[in-house]
Amino acid sequence: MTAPLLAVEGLSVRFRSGGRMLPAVDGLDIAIAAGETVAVVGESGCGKSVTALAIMGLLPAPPDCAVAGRAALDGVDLLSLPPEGLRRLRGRAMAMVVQEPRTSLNPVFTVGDQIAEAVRVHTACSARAARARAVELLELVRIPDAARRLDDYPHRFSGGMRQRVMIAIAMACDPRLLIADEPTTALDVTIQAQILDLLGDLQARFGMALLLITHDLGVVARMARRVVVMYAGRKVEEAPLRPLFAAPRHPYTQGLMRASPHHAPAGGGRRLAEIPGVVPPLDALPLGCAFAPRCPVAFDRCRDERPAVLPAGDGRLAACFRAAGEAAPA
Amino acid sequence: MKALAGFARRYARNRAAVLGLVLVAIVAAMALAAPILYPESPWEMVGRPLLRPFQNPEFPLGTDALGRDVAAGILHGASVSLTIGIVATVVSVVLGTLVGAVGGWYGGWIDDALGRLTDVFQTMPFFVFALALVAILSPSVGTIIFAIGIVTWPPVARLVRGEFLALKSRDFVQACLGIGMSDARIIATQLLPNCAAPIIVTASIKVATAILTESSLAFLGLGDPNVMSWGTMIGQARDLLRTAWYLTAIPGVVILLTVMALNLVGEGLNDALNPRLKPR
Amino acid sequence: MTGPMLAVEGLAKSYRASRGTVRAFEDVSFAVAAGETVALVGESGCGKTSLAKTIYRLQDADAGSVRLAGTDITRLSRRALRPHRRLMQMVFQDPYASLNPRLTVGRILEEPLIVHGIGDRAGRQGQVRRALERVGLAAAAAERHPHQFSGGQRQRIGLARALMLEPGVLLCDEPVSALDVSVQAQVLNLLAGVQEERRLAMLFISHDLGVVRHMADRVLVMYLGRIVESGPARRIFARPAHPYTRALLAAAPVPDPDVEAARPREILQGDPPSPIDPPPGCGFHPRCAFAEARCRTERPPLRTVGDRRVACHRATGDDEASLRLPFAPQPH
Repeated sequence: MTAPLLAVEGLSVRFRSGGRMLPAVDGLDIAIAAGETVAVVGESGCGKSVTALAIMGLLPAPPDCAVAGRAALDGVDLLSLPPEGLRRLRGRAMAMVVQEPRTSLNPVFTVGDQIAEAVRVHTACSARAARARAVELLELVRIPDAARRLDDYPHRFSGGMRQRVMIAIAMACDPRLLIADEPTTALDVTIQAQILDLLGDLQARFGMALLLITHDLGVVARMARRVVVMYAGRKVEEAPLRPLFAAPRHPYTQGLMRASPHHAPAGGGRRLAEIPGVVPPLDALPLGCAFAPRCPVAFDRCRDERPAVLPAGDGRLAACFRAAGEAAPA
Repeated sequence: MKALAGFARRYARNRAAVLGLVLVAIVAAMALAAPILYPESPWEMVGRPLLRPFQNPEFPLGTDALGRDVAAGILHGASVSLTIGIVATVVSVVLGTLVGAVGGWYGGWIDDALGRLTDVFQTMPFFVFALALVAILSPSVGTIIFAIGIVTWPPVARLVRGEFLALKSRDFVQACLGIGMSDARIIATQLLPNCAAPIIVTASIKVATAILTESSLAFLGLGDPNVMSWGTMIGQARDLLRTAWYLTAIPGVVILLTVMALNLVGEGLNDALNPRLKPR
Repeated sequence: MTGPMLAVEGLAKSYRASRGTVRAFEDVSFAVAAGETVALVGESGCGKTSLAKTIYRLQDADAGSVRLAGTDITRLSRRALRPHRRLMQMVFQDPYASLNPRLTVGRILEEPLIVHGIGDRAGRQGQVRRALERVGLAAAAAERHPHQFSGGQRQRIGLARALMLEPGVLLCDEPVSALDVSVQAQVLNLLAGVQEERRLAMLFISHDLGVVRHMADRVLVMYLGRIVESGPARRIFARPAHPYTRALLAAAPVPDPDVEAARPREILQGDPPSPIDPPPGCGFHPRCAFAEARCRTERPPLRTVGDRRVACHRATGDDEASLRLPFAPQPH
């Protein structure tokens, strides 16, 4: 197997809160091959967005935040890179698109200026060339009448259009890794479909790797090749797309899938399978498996000991004593 | 109770605010002690004129040109300043809150009309306005309070109106409308408690402004002729600035410290009442 | 009682904006019977929240009527409206904005009873306790403030508040869209349970087709302030008749890789038009793959086609405008 494009190993992120350091991400491993789409799925607070920020080097500085582990892009460890080196990679080797299309563009500059700026940060080129490239990029993200829209201000764009502009900015220097953090969560269904389709096309065309962060299993099913499921800062399961949906191994993944109304019959028979309880707060994580208090099949060991992420057959990984095939005590 | 303890803890974290609170407490104690320590009127000529401070233990802060006890003036002045400061602030806050709440809640032409009214009051230079009012009404504690209250409510009205505009579209207010709650009840039980924090902060700073305004009026000879005020003391002593500088310096420093203390308290209240604004 | 609990007839509302008149919604008619769930589906800006606020009388309608258990409440004064408010309550979208942060949960729940002069203090507190228990919270929750609860728990409190007055109609405006999937299921189950037990007439507003498909008996699809299709949920999800409904169903991602892989690549282009300046004819024609000359000039009326009502010139009721199921095949 060739070395992956991005190799995150043992990533841990802690945030300072009220004099304590709380683990937002704990011992996370993710590998993404060039051109591959990996989805990280989980509920709010599971650490998926923090992971993206850690890879991009956009977390707050110590002592508010402590990062440990490795995140190697093409063999270069991003976490130990000085800020200047990281800045050079950001935008060029990797880029990020975030959720909020309303606030992610600066309202006082035209869309064209903001794209051209992204181009010129990384390539020495004339203003004219940058502008020409900006038109190209707007066309790339399928904004109709691109040359004319270049001089519009962001408020003239709809949410979907702004997200396209954000993607254009991210694509300015042909990144090899695109991190998309909930890129369609704030958008309507029909616009979401457009953006997902665009991301898929761009990825196929430029062969970039896509790290898609989402809470939506539907988006995962549409886009991903491999899926990492996170819960309370830890990876609980990782599997190729189809096997994961066909037979999830971790009780949390199983619960998530069953809780989705898509799998219940339409109308009538109204009960959904719920996951009881709530996600534990970071300052009160259980000793053993973080999911144990909500898990229907937890036994004593789950409460005392944290399950490691282990192979669970078919090239899948799961962090569950049950999934690893260990017998429960009587 | 727990909320109160948390509030006290957050307030105590701001050292300057604690100092401010101590100073305000001292001024309050001075005001309370005035009738006990100096039962006679501070206008009484009790000693040799122009005694310097710390020379005669009977007049620790000295005497003025007419032989009146400066210490008695400062203590009685504290009571006058605090009374006027607090009561004028209450007038100003009640008036401003009323106008702001009604305008913010009802909107439309009511808000337009009240907005204009606020503009009229706010565009007039407030000290000149207060001066004119006191001059017309003839100076007394009552008219001074009235004048300060009437010229300082517009910022409160703006503040409350802004808070109301932001709050009234929130779902919890819609929910109250949905259960059929009356406007008065929504304003009093739902909205006002939510803007109590900024109102309290503004009020503490307003007390300082009111004290300063009263002193300025008194300095110009528009104080209540029946009470001793720090401003009056400075006003009467200004001709002797070269020869008896302490007569202006002592009340001046007291005013400075009091106003500064109230501002520090205001800042401390702001931090303690809006914990979200503070970095963790 | 005969007749529907909630009947909306020809309801319309527009706002004045700086650049013209915004038609929030127009000519909206539907009815909800006791024990029935009607879902209102549409994308942001289609007018669904404005419609809910108008029905709930948080704003006044320009035209049309809202009948609550047979009484026309559209133009009642606030005083006259108050007793009727007991019959209809609402659950709001944002669990963080819908509870007053300064009040305890007990006080928030007691407030509707106080306003309507129900019971004495002890009796009201008993009711608060029972309401909290019904929505799955401990009675001790009454002592605490909203910020001490998670989003899902707050939404339970919001539901408890809506139930305090024992309404017959429950309006739910995106009640679970701010919640995580695992918590969403809890709240949906709770809503469905309460509805069944009290035979509530429920208007369920949502943009999430998966949730709507699960909850609704009937569906209203809204586009640009008008209802473009309505009918039994099962039928609409199996065979959408309006091209917009069809596009919506095609666009919604489904958590099933097989369905996603087999999905026809049919993407609706462009953004919805501005409600300030709606296109002539059918509001959907600029984005519609089936639009013809007539669609650009003549607004299609909402007419009965087979088992539903559709506002489309081209809908025929046969298979022509139907679509392969984008949802998981149903084993039941």
